[in-house]
Amino acid sequence: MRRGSSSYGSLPLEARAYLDELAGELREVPRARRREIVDDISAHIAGELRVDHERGPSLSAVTTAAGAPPVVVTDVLDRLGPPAEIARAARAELPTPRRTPTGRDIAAIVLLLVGGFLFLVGWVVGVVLLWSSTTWRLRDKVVATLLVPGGLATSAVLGAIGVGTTGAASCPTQVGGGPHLGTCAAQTTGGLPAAAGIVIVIVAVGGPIFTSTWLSIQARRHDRPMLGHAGH
Amino acid sequence: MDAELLAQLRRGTLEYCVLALLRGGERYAGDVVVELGAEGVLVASQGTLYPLLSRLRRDGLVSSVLRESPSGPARRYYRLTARGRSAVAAFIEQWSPFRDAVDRVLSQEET
Repeated sequence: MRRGSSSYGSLPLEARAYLDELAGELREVPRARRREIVDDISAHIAGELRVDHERGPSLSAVTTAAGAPPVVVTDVLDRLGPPAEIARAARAELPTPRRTPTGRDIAAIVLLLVGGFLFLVGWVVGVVLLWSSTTWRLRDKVVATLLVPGGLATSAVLGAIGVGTTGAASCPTQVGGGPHLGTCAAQTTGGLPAAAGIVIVIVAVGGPIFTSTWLSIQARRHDRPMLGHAGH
Repeated sequence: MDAELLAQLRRGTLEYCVLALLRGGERYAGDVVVELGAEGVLVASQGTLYPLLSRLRRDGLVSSVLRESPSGPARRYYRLTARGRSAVAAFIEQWSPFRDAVDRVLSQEET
């Protein structure tokens, strides 16, 4: 167990035990906050004992000695409250998960959608950001990764292939797939069957768009409270 | 059950009480804690105010400075930031109508 700052070496034994217990109860709190709280409370105890010391000579004789009478020190500690209660308050003050998506999360969504156009590397970065984020559940991550790997770039490639097999001549303004593919496939007889073309278009274009919309909604909805950390 | 109820009531109000106590200028954390701790319904125990003060500082509503103490460890002093000052002003503005509305609704029960 970490000892507090050296300053609390001069405190009575009960106070040091109290601060040790407090530091233990605060183990779930980030180190900087834990240290700050323990230091502040140790200063509080020292201050309170000194106040008592100023109030009367009869008290001063005992409170300043290392073996201060339990009654005075325990009064100070009683007013501070049980270490577990302070720790509970400290956990309740920790920041709750964010409701607004972070920059990283937005980057993940954008890169998953259009990052594939950056030589596919952008999409891979998007996947890394997606999986390293705590915003989404495993289910969301799996769907977002597998529902058209490569994002819209894949749609564009599929569209180009579709155009190639159905004959570019019948679709002069073909860019990046889109609804035209189905139309083209329907118009030609030599390429993919019209129904298959439509399905591919819906999945290839709709998939990435659905995925990014879903991830955006989930990122905003992510506001589950800190479990069991309510401040009471 | 009462403790739970009080905790709920404190949740939105206590931090503004802390801020309000700092309107007069910089104060030693221990004095703020002792003064608020004397209000039994506001504070469960003095110690729970330190995490609150720490959070207010991280949120930029107060700033703190450590000052050497003639005896014992350095003491932390708090003061309001501009944001803290406007936060407490906004709370004070809303609090009276809020409290009055609650009182009105609660008193209707018996009539």
